[in-house]
Amino acid sequence: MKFGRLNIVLLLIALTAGLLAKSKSASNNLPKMILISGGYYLPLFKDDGDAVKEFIRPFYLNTHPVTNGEYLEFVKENSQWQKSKVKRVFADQNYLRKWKGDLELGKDVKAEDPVCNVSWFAANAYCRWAGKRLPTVFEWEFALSKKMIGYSVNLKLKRTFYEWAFDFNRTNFQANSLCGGAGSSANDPKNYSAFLRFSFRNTLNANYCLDDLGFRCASNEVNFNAKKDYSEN
Amino acid sequence: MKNYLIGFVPAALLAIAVITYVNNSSVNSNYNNNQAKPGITVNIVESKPDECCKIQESAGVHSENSIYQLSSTWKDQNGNSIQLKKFQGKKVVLAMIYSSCPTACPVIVNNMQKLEASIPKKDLAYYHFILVSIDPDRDTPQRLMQFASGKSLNMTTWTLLTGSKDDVAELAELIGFKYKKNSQGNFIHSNLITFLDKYGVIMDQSEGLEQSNQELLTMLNK
Repeated sequence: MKFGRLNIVLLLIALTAGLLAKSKSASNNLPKMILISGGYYLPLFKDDGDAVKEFIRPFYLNTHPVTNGEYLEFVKENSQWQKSKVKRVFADQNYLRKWKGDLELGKDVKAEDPVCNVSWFAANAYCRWAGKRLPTVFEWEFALSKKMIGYSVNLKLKRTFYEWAFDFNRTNFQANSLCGGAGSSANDPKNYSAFLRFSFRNTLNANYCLDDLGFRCASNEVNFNAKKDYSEN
Repeated sequence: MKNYLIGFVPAALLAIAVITYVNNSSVNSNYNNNQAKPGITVNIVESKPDECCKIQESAGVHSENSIYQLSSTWKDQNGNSIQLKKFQGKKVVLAMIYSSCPTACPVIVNNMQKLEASIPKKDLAYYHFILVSIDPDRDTPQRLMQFASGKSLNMTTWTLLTGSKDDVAELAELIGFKYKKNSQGNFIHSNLITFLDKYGVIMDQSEGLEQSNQELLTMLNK
């Protein structure tokens, strides 16, 4: 009888531990990705030889821009991307400007806010490290037009927040300047916010680090996390 | 018999519980490993520079603007893996092209060949000519080799490279080269020849196809 009681106690301990382990795994904070089903996207600008409508293949996109906290994990593992160690050729002097140190956000920078002051090179390196990639301009614009991604973050910041795209300066190749008459060649001149984004992207250099410029990652495949995150949505 | 059962049943339950727990916790530890990274696979291949390169790097390391800071690995026309910093120590003339390019790229390559021809033979060892493909889908090392033979390039002073789309994009951003594939599978692209000093810093760039050989030579010898 004594032996039986001991067994029951042990059994309860084991069960509790098992449940704890399970609840811990469910509360992981991996970034969520959503499936953007493919379709046709009408580019705002076209070059000679471009298709009238661009076919966007289905892909996965993070629901939110990469946060300071997530970016910190990246620089912990990749010291060449730390604030004091990054090469100027990859990121200008404003790189992680608001962070207190290489591995310290400081009291004004919230871990859950989107990371900004990161260059295209840095954004690209982050997404590759995460097993993902930067979305193309068309993918990003397509997801926005389908209302699959939104501006919740921007409302919080109370200003326009832009995001890097893989081919940020290559979509409207021939329209080097978007001033004056160039705007009239847009397929939808009334889409003012898209116009702003296209013209903003065109002014960027890949090593620029700006206060209102962050990024999110995309992926072609249903990777382990994406699959899990997607089924939760 | 009764006592035996009382002992056996909880023991069996305990065994099941322990197995469940072990399984659970191993799944959990996988999660924890992944939790630090917001993705799945982390494939950062660190190359180990040999002694020669370490010395060269320390010489050029003062330059924050060297494109040899790129850690990307490329394939040359022989299928060998190389990094751009291999060319450290030489003056480099670099262009981004693709082998099936119908018009502009042949002119660029031709201009680079003319430039090569105007360098005294004895000095040629101090220079290197690099063509980087922007069309990795089609430009395999074999195809680049065919292209080089077709143009009769001198393979002691020329190297043709192909790499991943990401690496091509990174290099393009570093030197300010723009390109875009159109619906016919051709590229619209900058016509750019880039001159690098022996540390991989851009000395000058020629844009367009109109520069005379004399103008290019002046850029090269800056």
